[in-house]
Amino acid sequence: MLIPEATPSYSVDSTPVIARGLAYNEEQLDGAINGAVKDLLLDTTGTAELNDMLAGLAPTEFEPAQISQLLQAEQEPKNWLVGEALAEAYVADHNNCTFPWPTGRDLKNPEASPAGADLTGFQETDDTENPYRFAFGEVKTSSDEHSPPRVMYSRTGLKNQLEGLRDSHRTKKSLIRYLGHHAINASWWYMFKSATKRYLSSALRDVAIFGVLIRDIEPNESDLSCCAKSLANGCPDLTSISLYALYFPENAISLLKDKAQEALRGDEQ
Amino acid sequence: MTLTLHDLKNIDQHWAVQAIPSEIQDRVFEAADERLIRAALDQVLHNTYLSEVTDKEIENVATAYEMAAIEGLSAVLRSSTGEENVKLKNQAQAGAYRAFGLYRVLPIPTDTDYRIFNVLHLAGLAYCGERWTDLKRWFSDFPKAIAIPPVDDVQWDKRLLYRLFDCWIRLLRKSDWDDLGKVSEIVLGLRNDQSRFESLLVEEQSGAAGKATALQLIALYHFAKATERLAVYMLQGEPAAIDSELDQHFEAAVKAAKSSRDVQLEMVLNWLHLASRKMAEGSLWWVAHTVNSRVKKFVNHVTKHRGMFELFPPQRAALQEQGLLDQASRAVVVDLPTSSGKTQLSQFRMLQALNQFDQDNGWVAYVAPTRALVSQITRRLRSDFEPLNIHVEQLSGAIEVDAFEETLLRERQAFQVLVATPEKLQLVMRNKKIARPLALVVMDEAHNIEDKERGLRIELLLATIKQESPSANFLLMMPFVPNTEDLAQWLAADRGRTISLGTTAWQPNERLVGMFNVTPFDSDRGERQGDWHLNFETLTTTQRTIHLHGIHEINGVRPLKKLNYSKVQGSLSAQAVAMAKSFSDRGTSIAIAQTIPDVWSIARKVAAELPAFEQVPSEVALVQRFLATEVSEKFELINMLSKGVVVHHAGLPAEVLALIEWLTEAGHIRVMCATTTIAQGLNFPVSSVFLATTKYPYGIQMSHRAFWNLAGRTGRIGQNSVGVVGIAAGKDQKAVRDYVNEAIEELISRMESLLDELYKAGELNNLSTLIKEDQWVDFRSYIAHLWNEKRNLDIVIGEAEQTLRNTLGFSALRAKSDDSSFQKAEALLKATRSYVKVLAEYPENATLADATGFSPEGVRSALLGMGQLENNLSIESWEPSSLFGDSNSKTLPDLMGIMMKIPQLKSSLEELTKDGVGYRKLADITQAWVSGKSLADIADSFFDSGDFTTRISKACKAVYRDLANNAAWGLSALSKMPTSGLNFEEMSDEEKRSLNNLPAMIYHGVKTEEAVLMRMSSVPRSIAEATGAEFKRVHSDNFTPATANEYLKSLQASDWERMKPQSATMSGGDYQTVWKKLSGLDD
Repeated sequence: MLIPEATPSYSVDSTPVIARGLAYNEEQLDGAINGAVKDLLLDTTGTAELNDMLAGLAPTEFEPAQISQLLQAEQEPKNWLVGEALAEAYVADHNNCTFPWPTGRDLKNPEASPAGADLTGFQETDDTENPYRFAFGEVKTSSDEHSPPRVMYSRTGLKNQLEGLRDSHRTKKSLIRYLGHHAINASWWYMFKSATKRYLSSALRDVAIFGVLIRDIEPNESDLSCCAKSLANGCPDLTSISLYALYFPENAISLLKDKAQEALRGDEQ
Repeated sequence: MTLTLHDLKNIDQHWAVQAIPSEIQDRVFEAADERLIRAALDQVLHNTYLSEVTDKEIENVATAYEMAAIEGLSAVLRSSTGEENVKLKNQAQAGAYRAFGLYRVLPIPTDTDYRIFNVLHLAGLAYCGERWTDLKRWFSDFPKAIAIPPVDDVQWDKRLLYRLFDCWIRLLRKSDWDDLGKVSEIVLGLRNDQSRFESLLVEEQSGAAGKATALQLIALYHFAKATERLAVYMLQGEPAAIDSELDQHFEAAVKAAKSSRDVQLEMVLNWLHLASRKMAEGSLWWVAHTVNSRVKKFVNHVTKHRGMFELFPPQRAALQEQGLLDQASRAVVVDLPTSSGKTQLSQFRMLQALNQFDQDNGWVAYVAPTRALVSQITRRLRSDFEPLNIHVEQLSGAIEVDAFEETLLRERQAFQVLVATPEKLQLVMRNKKIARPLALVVMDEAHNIEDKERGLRIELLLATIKQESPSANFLLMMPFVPNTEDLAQWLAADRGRTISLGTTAWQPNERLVGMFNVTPFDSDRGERQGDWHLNFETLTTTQRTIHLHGIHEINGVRPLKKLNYSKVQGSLSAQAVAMAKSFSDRGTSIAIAQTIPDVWSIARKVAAELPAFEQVPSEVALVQRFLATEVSEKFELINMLSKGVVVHHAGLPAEVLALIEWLTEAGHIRVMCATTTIAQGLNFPVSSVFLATTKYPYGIQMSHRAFWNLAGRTGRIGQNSVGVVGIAAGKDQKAVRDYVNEAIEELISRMESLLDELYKAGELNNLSTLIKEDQWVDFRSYIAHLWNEKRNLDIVIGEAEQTLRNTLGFSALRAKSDDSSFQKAEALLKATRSYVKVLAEYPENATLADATGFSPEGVRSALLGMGQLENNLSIESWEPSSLFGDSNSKTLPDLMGIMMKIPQLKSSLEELTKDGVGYRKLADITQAWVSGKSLADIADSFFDSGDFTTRISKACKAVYRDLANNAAWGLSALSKMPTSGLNFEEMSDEEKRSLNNLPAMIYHGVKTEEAVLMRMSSVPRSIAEATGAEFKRVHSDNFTPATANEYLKSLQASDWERMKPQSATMSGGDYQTVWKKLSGLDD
């Protein structure tokens, strides 16, 4: 288990979409952060490696000075990054998923070339021939008092992102091709192969899609209910969609990065 | 390893591909073909059935193939030849090949960044799948896809990306030297811009996002450097170790992109890493580094002047993988698809051979099948080799060798490469006219070895070279030959090498091959009685052609308005030209008819219905003035040219054909009307070809090999066209369907097929008698030559078996174990021995046969004929003034009379006499021609039936084909007969030269030696006497082709103007331009 069990708050499933609210108390949250979540946050490029990259720039005859400044800048985890890690841990634990490739976190760059999802990995199923399929997910972290929060329905909001993953081949295609470049000789090659076969043979439908909201308000069905209905409408068969709202104690989101750093420091000691 | 059809088949078994049901795959590939054709032919081909396949479905199958490609990607970058690596490499290439074929038909994203990544991704697949020529065509089809976005209002990282996109479009397109040269400038510009623009971006960034941006910039800087290095390498071949530099920068770029989590950038960098390596490996410079300094100079020249930077995949495979330049191989036989750059490939081998034989002053023979091709190849080789100080000369006459050629052949430094037809080279080789060692024989279109007319001659020429030039190497090039090993084995048993690239996956372009027909009017569509449509049905073929469902209507009701349904239905030629007209907006379309009158007739029909050029292109106008001057102002072709219509057949002067080909390559010709014989000499690309028939004159069926070779010329590499080939359905549609669906036969020597015919007819035992028939004339000449070499009956008979083994036919029969082959070989051996005995009785006939190119029987006829002349010949009889200038002299008519009795000459000369021309008249035409009478005068004076065009055609055919080929040769041969009245030993060098130039006067249609020299140097006939006279005044002491060339180079337009005939429509500048064009100085 990467993350402790939570208390189910509500279920607003809209067939075939699963939509659940889950509440965590302070202790459960700490447990989660001190558990595997902090490991997920450790996945950054080391300083020595960055320095090497900078030194390697000399033969290009471009000047390294300003880039060097950017690379030296202190970097600390953001609250939303910790939120994403919590979401990943939850989905992995409760949906038989593995997310071997950190496409989303760490240096997530909103200006990066278009592509990507917050969570990219595989879900194990009970199919004997090809047990794995692709699992993609989007995560939003919000302390917004409104339910549903604005991050749910803005242009780049969760609903649109999930609809994109559900309907459009563009993002999935990019991610699959990208994983393909890294899958050769990787420990998860067999998962990739199985998932690719299922994806291609199902005319691009056999995937698991996850949407996770990280919240620090009282659990409220409105966070997910409309979205679930909307995603259920026109959901292709073989595509499964699961929505989770993880409710942490009040104001917990603003403290996530501190908790994470504490946990990381604890590890160093 | 280069990608083969076998690899493409294998990739279909990949797990990712197999995940998709096969019926979906089939539908997707079909739809991709349809989309491709629709994009290319939408304006012409209607009712195209469109499968209901979505973009998503196409993309799904493309992704599957791409997965297979990605799996083997790193293997492509490794040089290991281990089995597993090779397997993965082939997988990557085949997967990319297929994926490219599908992605290219999908819509192009409109969002700028998506579009850029889409194009670069496609480029990566294209290079991995060895389809860069298809990529160039895609660029040409979709210019918006490669539009460079403006950089004024974008951040530094985008500015870098967009500018690098610009660089890569240049690298991929490689239009010319400047296109590539700009890449370094752009990258330098980026370095200069860095401080200004980078700070603006950096100011806005911090923390994790800032770090990601920094890493992206690192990736882009390495990308920029790799791009710059690649461009420099493609231009200059430096640094030689480009691979490691590319690896270094791309690996660093990928690493940084990966750390920045920029998924798209990382993927595209992976693909471009591979593309850059493949591009460098396929660069012309790669060959330069592995061979010698001559090649380096050559590559330097062609990259700068021809804009050629990259080898086609089959060329690369031939050079890098299959040992084309392996010095240990004496004979290399190359089976290469049509239009895959055989000439260029041979150039590398030529340079290597010249290098190898440098100290011995060796030379290279390039054998081309027709005189027009000899001229064309000479121009091409000259333009590439002269800057390297390698002299290229052609033997221009028919068969005889004139005095200037004699001198040329004797001189030590006159040439390094000699271009000739097989007939001409045969005479040179048998008479050992060149003392220097023959380093290499390049034989283009070597499949002609099976040709009924000339096959035996070609085979025996090679046999002679094999026997008598032991150090000579061979390079035979041909398309669609499944059994190249037989040829390599024949020419150099254990030192033969075959390079078979017939199954290579690469294609010069896509092709549609089908059948066309006419359908009557449809009143439901408001059409009127007499209206008609053309339709086109693609056929299943043995080659990789695109097959579409259904029958497609060709654009337009009644494309030839003046013809009604019943007229067009009855004329397949008219249908062919109507097709050509319909397709002519896409580039030159050829309509092929069986006979020259048919060709003129359809040319007239189409010219009558095409609009004239709004403004006649200057090149076209120049050729019109050339025709007015050299042929006649009334010549019908002149007006046709104003509409972009030309004719192309054997009845036109070689110079006119060369200029027509030039106009075609320049894109000024809409419709070309030609006879089937164009299949032999089509060496320039056209857009489409429509045949009224696949039969040559006299109903001889075009071989499948010749047809596919012709079809291979359609479409232009890297340009926006799908090649279209159509055959008229006519009454026997099944025959057309069968014809394109029948396998291409193995190449069998003409000698073997002749023996086979006898075997089947039960006549093998009569070979000793039948060998005297016309079809064996080349064989008899060959035996005469062998006899002449030894002049000892016992030795020649004793060595007969061994000598015959030098031929392809005999050696092939001996290699077979069946009884019929044994019988055929034995019969030939027996007939040879018995013929040697006949020769031994009249040894002088064999000697004269070698000297003249006649068969011993021809020599005998000549001797008999000359012995029967009423008036004995003397040296005076052979004076040009007497022979050509004195209409009362009987010499020329007498000689013509003899010629018409000589088997090798008579058929062509007799054909002339069918037009009512007796030998007296033949002599008169010759005199008129040599004395400078225009073609129009000859047409008017000697041919009185038919309209002016018919008469001009007959006149052209008479002088350019019959006189130039046969009368010139005949005259030369007769002058060498002992009863010619000439005593060569008592003649001065000048007299000998003068005599030897008589045939050249007939060939070139001029009356002085100096004019012959001018004509040899490509000066138009109308100005040859005048320029010759001036040349003689200035250079009387140095009367050589080289000096003539120097003199002509020194002439200004004003000089040409001064010397041109008053009546000429051409200006001095026109003459100069045409001369440059014809001599290859302006290529």
